[in-house]
Amino acid sequence: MSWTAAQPASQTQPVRPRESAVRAQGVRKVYGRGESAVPALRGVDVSFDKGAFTAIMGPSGSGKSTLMHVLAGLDSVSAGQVWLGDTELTGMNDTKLTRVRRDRIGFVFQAFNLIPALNAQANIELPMTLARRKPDPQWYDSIVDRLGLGQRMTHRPSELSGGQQQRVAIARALLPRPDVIFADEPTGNLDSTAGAEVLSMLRSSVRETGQTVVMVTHDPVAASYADRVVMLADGSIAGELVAPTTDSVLDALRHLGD
Amino acid sequence: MLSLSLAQLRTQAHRLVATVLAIVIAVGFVVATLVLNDTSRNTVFGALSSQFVNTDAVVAYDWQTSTGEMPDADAMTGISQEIEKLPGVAGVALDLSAYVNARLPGSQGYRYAQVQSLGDGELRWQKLKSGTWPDGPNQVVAAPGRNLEVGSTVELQLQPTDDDGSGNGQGDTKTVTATITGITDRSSGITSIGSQQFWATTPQATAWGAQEVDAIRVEAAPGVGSDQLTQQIRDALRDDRAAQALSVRTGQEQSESIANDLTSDNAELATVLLVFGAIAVFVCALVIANTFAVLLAQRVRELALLRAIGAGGKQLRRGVLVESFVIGVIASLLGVVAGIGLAAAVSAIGSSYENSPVPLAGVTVKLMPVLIGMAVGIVVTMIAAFTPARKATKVAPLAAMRPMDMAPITTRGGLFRRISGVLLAVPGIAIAWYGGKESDLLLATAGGMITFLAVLLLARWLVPLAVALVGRVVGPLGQVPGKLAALNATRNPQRTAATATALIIGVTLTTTMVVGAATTRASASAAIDDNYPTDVIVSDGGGQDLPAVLIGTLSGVRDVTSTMGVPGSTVKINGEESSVLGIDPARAGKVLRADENGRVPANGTISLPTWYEDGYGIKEGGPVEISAGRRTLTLKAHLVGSAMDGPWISTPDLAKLDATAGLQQVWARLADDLDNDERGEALDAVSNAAADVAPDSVLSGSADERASFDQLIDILLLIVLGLLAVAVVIAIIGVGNTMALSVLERRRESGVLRALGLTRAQLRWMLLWEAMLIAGVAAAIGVVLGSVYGVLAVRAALGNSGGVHMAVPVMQVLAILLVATVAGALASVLPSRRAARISPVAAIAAA
Repeated sequence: MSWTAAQPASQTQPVRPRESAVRAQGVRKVYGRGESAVPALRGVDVSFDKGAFTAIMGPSGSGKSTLMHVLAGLDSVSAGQVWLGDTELTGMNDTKLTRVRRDRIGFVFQAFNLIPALNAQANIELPMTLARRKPDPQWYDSIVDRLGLGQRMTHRPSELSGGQQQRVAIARALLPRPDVIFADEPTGNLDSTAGAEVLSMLRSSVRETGQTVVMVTHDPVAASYADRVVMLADGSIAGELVAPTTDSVLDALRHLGD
Repeated sequence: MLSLSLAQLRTQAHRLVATVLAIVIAVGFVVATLVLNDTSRNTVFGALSSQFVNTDAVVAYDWQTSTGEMPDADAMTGISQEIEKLPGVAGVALDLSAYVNARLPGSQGYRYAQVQSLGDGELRWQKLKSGTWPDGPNQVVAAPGRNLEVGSTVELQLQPTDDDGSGNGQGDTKTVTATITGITDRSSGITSIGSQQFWATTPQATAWGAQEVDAIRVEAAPGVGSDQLTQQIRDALRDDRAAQALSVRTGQEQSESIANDLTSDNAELATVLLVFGAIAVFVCALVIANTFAVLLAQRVRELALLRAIGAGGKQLRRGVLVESFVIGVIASLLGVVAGIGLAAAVSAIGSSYENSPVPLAGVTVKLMPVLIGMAVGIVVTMIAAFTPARKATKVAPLAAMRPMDMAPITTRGGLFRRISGVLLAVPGIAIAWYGGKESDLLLATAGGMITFLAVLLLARWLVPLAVALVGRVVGPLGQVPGKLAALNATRNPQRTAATATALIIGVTLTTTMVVGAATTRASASAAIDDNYPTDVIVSDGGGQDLPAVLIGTLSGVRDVTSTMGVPGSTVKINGEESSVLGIDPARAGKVLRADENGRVPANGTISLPTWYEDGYGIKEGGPVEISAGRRTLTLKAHLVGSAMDGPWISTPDLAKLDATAGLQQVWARLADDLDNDERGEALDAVSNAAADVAPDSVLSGSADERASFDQLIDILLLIVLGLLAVAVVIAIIGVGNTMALSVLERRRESGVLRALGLTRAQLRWMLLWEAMLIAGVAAAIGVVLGSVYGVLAVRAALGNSGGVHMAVPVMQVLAILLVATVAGALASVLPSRRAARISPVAAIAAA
């Protein structure tokens, strides 16, 4: 495929029959006030398809993490709208946002961020426990199968390797079948082997179960696992790449400044 | 490094507020205790020695050292006349006293009082606060007391006198009315705690039967020194046989001798105060160490940063020590000032309080408390700062830069702590138990402190274990946040133990005092019950029979629940003359408060004080022959301790011996739930009612003693609890600090939980639950420890002087438990609000 201009999500094209899982419309985000104001997002329109694995890429300071936080309802916007499916997140109060996050969004963080006091199993079940929901046993078993932790389910995070911890974090995100999983540099703290395992797990969850995944990364190899790459520069969408390879991503990054 | 340390202090002053506050409060606590100790001792000594300190020479019988017989009044008068003739003598005062029953203004009953003769000129040591000195007949000055004013009158019932001056002679009592011309200051009257003190001119006092000689005080002629005078008197009395048993001293020596007697007599009081001071220093050390450790731990990253940019470990340690030294000096100075101020306030309140049991006047500030306060504050602060500083500098610079909540929880030193804790606990418990058993207060205190240290060492293992157990039981109540809280509370045992320690200290001490006071009260109450058959005993001051109508009169008085007439007679017991009282076994149960030794005699038995065993050759269970006139009864003996006044037999037995036995006493029991004021009112009412029917009646009994004792305990408890409240406040500062640190360390974790769907309210609830778990467990441990210590302390302090009746005031102890738990929860409010305000993004981003 070739470069296409980013389309406002509201003008979903008939050639792409898929529904959008998350979309942003005219989103601006400014940190600080007056003279010290720093714009992080300068009017972003973007849409993420259901059942797709999308990567957000861009150099440091491009606003990719801010975009993810805004899309996930972790941070407020200065202007514009964010939609999760049919639900508008912008304008919600903290408690409602918390509930949306709990019930409909999953997270995978760079620093794993498992709760040290809980063992692997309890960590996986935590979002369900918070929502007072019972996990579907079949679904639970299939996730744990893919996790490949075997007997280590009762171990605390400090007793697991980085790759194992991140896989537990992915299982935690998958279990409630959220509308979308946001992954923030999920391989940033891992060596290449462990990173590859984590990315494969994310991709297979998309391919096999239709999970929607949005991943922020600056690693072209990680981005090549995705179905689509959205490029961000200076707080604006700078283009996108469908069915990326490591080389095509590197190439696109090289021309980003042009 | 010095400039950096000072810059740290300047820029981070706000951070240090909590530390400085803890040091100020703790040092103030120590200094106030020590200053009050000195003040009260000075006041007592000053008052007791004021009688002699300005006298040049004192000739007196020394009860502690003299071996010979005390000369009688005539002999003393002879000696004083002999001294008066000596060339170096300007004046002589013969201090005489008489014991009388006094009817004070506002009361119709008689109370015990003492009348002493006044010396003249330099030898008049009393200080007038108002009015004038007496100069004629029927005039007195009085020590300050209730309802006593210049111009008011008192009625004195004088003891019948006879030739031997013992005051036990037969004859009619005489009643005189005396006018109060002046009131002395409080310290002049301190020699007669418990009874009212009056002074009259020597002729007047003698006329009222003052025959007991306290001392001969001598004033030196101008130019004659005290030592010279004393030597002169010694030489003059060398050949006087009657004077051999007397000591001749300068006033200064006599004062010191009295002070020494007092210290040895009140060694127990001195020990208690010493122990209290030691406890204060101990608590202060622990609390400062705890607070400082928490505050320095917040700076581990900053210290590590300094290491990373090239500061040596030694430099860093020195920097922290300089910093803590400066804080220690400033805070200790503030603490010393605060402590002296506190002592002055307590002293002012104490001395304005009428009948204050703690004699206080002004503030005595010696150098020692100030030095001790400063030393404690500075040394403890520096030691407290050293450990975290060493810990921080031991970590590799880069390792310390890692996110804190990712650092593995170290258990190094845990085994060492556990072993040393157990090693301390075993001998500690043994020593404490032995000290309690043998009534050795110092040993018991040492044992208590050792066990307490052991508990603190074991806390890191014990507290998380207890929290886990409690958390498992009550966790489900708190739902998900509750379960998370229970897990969190046990995750960092060191932090949990540190939080708990501060509270354990405060709660243990408070409970110790409350339980100790309750046990003391119960024990003393039992001892008083042993000494007196019942609350109020009315008898005739002149040894006459009481009118039978008095029984009915007293029954009608408010707050009197039951009464009993006690007839008595003079009989011969195994041939020796003795008085005996007749007790109605059927009624006695209602009037007596306690009868643990079985004092109430059944028909055919006689209850006797143990000293009858030696004096009359009576054996327990053996036969006793009692005769009155021609009638004789043989009764079975029951010996019941030394607290009884004389033998009791049942009323039917008494009737068989002496059908006309007159009414000697009326016993009355008061309602149980009276407070001190109500009890005082009831006593006045009984006294007035009795005086209407029997004008010469006199009151005694346990109620009076119980009232003054209860008041003493209440006031002491109030003072001590006031000081301990300070310890609890420091403990709560400690809890707040640790919770704040805990929140700081878990910023990221809180952010993740928020991102995953924990609402703000749930996060706050989680931290609150965690604080309550820790505080509740700490309070429970403190309450258990404190109860044991309280009973142990009383056993150790009072075990010698009678049985100890353990009493745990359940409601008060539960209240302590509740207050401590709620306080812990309150201390978590600010940190948890701060935690809930953290935006999930900020928490995740701040790696």
